[in-house]
Amino acid sequence: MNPSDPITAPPNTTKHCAMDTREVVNLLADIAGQVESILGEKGAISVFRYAGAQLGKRLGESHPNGTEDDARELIAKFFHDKEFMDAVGLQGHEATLSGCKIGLVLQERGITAGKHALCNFGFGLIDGTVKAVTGKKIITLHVESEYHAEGITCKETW
Amino acid sequence: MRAEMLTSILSDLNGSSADIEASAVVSTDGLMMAALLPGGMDEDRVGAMSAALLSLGDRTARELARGTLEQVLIKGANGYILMTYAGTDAVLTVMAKSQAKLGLIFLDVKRAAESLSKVI
Repeated sequence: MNPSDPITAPPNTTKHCAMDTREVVNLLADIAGQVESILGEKGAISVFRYAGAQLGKRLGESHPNGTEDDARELIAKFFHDKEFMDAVGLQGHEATLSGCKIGLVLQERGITAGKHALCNFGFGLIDGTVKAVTGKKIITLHVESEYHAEGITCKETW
Repeated sequence: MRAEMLTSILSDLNGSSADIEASAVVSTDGLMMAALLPGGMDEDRVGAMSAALLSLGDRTARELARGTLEQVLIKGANGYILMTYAGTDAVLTVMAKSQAKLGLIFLDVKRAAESLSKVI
């Protein structure tokens, strides 16, 4: 085999599975960890939060002049579709994220949920989506995390 | 109320020298607290950059055995950007003209950072 030849799968093999949610979150946590090792904890938080807000703006672009309820639905659908959460409850200025896979992976690494760069990516995502949909600037903050047998439930407010 | 006090301190700082063009105070997480920036400058982006740069400077100073970080100074063809802590939870970012007298700017920025930290 020539070293310059591309590496391909053997013939007649099919790809069964890429990565499950837990593996994706683990990879994201590894990336965040390396960013944090250079930028520092607060630096990584600020960059991930900003990145989340930019993605949120893109997410909300398709629903301009919408209401806060429209924005909430978009956010809940995003988290649920990506399987990062089992359920997202939204009431008034509070969000309850049940079965958070990000929190679970962080817990396995001995990191408290709600203060990590990946959590701040999520907070930025909420901020950016609400801004794009309603034009209103909000700042999402972590309230508390509950650890129970079924997983982690995080509560946020803005 | 506190936001107005922070803006007032920034306003005094910007007025202390004709060479200071803009200033902002940002939480160490990158969230904007108060800003007097030129139109067209994205506050959220300035906030994220300021927090990231100061955090990177802090880590670099410590890992390369330079001790506790005092300030981060960036010099471009059109002027300076100076960042310093305002207490433990905030960053003061100042933009100055290229011909600015840095000694005076450092002094004014230090005083403003102390005032901001008292309010925060």
